[in-house]
Amino acid sequence: MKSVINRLYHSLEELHNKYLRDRLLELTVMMSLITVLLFMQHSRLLMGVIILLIPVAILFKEVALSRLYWLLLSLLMAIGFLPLYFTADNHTFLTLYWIFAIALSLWFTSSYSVLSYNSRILIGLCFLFATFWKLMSPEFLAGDFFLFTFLTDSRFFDFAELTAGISPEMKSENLSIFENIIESTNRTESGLLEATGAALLISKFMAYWTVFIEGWIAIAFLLPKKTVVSKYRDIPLIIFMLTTYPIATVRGFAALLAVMGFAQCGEENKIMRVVYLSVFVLIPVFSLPFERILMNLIVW
Amino acid sequence: MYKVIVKNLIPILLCIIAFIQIHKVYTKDLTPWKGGGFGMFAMIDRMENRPVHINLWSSGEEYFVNPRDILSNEDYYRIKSLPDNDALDRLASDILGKKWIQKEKADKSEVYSYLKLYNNSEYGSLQKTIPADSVTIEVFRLKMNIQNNEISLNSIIHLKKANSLSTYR
Repeated sequence: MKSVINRLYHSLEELHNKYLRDRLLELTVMMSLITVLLFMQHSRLLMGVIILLIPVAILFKEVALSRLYWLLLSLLMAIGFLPLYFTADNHTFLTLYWIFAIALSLWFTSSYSVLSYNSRILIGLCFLFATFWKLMSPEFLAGDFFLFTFLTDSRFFDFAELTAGISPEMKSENLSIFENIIESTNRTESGLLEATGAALLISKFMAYWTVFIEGWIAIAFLLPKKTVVSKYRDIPLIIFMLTTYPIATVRGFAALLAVMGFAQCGEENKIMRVVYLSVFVLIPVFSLPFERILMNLIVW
Repeated sequence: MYKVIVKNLIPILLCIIAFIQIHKVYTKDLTPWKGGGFGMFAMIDRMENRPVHINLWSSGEEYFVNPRDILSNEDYYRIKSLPDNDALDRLASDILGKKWIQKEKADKSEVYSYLKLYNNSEYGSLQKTIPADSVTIEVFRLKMNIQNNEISLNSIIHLKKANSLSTYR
């Protein structure tokens, strides 16, 4: 077993030294551009300009590493983002900070080190605030949030069926009650959602698991690099990505975390660069209905 | 020192925006899912779960207006996400200043009387319009009672505005 792990480690190291080591900034910038192009919400105001600007940098390396290009791109994206300020998803904010960080780092002589630092702190802060909100929410800690989500959010239906025995009939009935209240013009409309005992247990487990893993990421990424918790910071982030995004398919956030995870790796954890890059390439796989496949396998 | 500050500019920006978001959630009813504070997947109260009810009154009769008929996507979601009094007041004035006609009911079981915007070229000048005497706009958030899994609506903001040109009160 030990020799298999050793061989895998050396193969990854070889792969890293051969293809990644000398192109870290270039690869980070390219992955960031792809993320912005494919996953970021743009306002109609500047969507066309941004969509035209990004392929230019993907095609020409000199443009992709130009300070002025990133200054222009970040300014345009900031202007285009303003109308979406109160309606955009959080990963759109994080993408924008990331674009600013790239633009800023290119003005330093040690560009990659500044970018790497910003990436680690931004990931840490993002998870710190995410943990804060979960701790401040009594309905989250009681499991109510996940219970409600399992019963009314179609993205979680297969997971709820697989783990908590929420039948297709219950899903359809709950969805109908939920939609009726949201679309009704009657302000006193109410309805009872049907759940199983297992659903409440799973919801509570998910709540505590989420606080634990997000809190762990926040601490590990914000503590100084020399601490033990920080040294192994990639472990909780990779676990989070692999356990969260196949269920809650927020591919934009997954792609961005993979890019930022890649960028924050130092020489001491260079192997993780290969792992983050692999996760980035495999993002489309997150859209596969894993729970449905598993259910079919169980039935079979 | 200067370099340290510049190097930390973006994390500082993230913190400032997140603190503004926390403040707005607790004082202005911004949904915790939006505004850059990373409050997603923490509370049931998300933008998509906030219905907007618009009721228009004319000669003592109550009618309903579908907000999607009069608001752009951006404005509709902005009102749901951060339903402030000024935005609602502007919307109320806009509604009162427009001409409305009754929408045909999709089927006989439909109990609500919806209105749609009057369009001269489509309906002709002889079509009878419904004068707006007053309008109420209300934004709700969804809540769930964990004891029995009952979901219901809870009012966040309610605004009533009368038409100054109208004779009906």
